[in-house]
Amino acid sequence: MATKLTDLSLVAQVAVFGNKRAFDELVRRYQSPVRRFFQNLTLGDEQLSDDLAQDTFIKAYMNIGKFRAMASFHTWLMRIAYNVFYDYTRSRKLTDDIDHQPETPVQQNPTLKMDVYAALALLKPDERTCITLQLIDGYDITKIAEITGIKEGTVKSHLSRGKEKMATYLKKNGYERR
Amino acid sequence: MKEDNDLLLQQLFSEAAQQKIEDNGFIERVMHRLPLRVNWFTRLWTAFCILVALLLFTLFHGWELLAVQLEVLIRTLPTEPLSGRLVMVVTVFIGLLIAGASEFISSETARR
Repeated sequence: MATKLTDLSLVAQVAVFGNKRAFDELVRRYQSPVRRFFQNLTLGDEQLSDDLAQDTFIKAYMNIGKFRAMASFHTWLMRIAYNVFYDYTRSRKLTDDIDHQPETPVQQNPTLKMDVYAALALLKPDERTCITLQLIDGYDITKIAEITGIKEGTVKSHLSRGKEKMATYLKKNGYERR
Repeated sequence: MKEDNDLLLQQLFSEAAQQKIEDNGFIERVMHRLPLRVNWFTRLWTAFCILVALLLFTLFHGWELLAVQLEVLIRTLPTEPLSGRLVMVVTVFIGLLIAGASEFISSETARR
């Protein structure tokens, strides 16, 4: 007998009976990948990442009845996370027009290599999202397209452009393949 | 060249890919911020059950049955032997215990 409930049965308990403990378990399972995703997109800003991750889980809770199991719960959650980040960057663009500040890595987490954030800082938000989803979260191009809603061809170009920018930067800064 | 870049980036990102972020109170903060979600299915089902119960109660003159049963209980209670009263108390206690246990099991299975 399986001792661990599947994501689907937990989702059903939340959607049908409003079981908050089931949702607590879902948050426990996915808090790490969701927060890591935001940390990479915000270049290590832990406070902002946690705020965005909280918004993601609250949106997931409010819309859990719309989950149709066409994709896994993880993919569905990452799609919400991407939309939350997209809304955040769009709202920030409006304020950036007034007070423009270039993006710089936030050195809050000394355990993580700053090289990663410095390299990610060179990329546009969509390129950074695609790179993060592929190189850190391990998604293939089809899944990245599903999560972001971007066409597969465009995902490929984002990946290729992003990788080239980062590799050039890293090589310039003496980072060589071991 | 492209493969070389891929390998270089994979090497750089491999540590970040394995990073596991500790909870540090995050789950609790999320659970506290959850808004009240109106569960229409549960509400409708509860309303339906209450309606059916009221309907049956009225249809079978529930208040008369209840009054008779209550009267019988009050009149016969002093004549009941100790074991009879004990059975009554134990039955109520077991009922409460089963209700509590099922609630506990349903919430705990969600955690596993």
